Amino acid sequence: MTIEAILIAAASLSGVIALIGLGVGVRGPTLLDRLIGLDLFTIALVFNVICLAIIESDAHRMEFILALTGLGFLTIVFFFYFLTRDPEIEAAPDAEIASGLEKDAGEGAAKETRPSNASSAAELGADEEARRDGSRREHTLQSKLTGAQEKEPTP
Amino acid sequence: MIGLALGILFLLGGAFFLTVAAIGVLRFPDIYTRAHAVGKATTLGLALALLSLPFLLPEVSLGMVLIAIVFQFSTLPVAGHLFCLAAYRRKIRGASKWIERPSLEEPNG
Repeated sequence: MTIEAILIAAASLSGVIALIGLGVGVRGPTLLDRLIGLDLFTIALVFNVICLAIIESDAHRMEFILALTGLGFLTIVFFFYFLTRDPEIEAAPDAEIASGLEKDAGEGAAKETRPSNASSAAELGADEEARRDGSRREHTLQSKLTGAQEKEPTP
Repeated sequence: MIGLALGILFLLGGAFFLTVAAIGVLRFPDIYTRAHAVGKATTLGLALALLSLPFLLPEVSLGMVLIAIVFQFSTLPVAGHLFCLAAYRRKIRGASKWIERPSLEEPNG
């Protein structure tokens, strides 16, 4: 009898923790705080299923526990994947970070333009000429970039 | 009888650590500290609760429970790490002035 009371108390405690997780999931200031609330909700649900399996003496809930854990983990991994794909869903905190993002984008564009030049030069057939041509083009590209950077602050 | 007492002890320990995780999520000011609370205390709490299962429910074998515990130990800290990694890559600063980001230009985060 007391064991039943302890089990029911633990199950209701996990229900309260699941409600806390839902509250954090609704209230949380950023998207990642809401995601942490979702994670806490899933974990409290797993604990509740453990308590219910002991109360009802049902051993077949073990698979449900494993499936629920894997579901929560896959949810978080896919949220992480889609959150880190594009960093402009939420606004950047201050102007310094925004300028850093612009600088990163510029470097990525420069890296993208370089191999196209090299491939077009490699079609000529001569390797060393291609290398020289590529190095020349890199040099002109860098001079263009620095010229653009020198031109930018003047207006 | 002693197995029953051990199972009740493990279950209450799991409930205690889960409560600690919930209090940490409610009280901590920051995304990094919240992920810390969820990733560590919850792992220990669920492992203790699963360990109480073969004592209180004799139909469940110990091997199944050990597989489930290994599964929890491999998924929950990874999730807690992914929270911090997502916050780091989105350049979110800590709330406290003692928790500073090391540098914004580190390539491997």
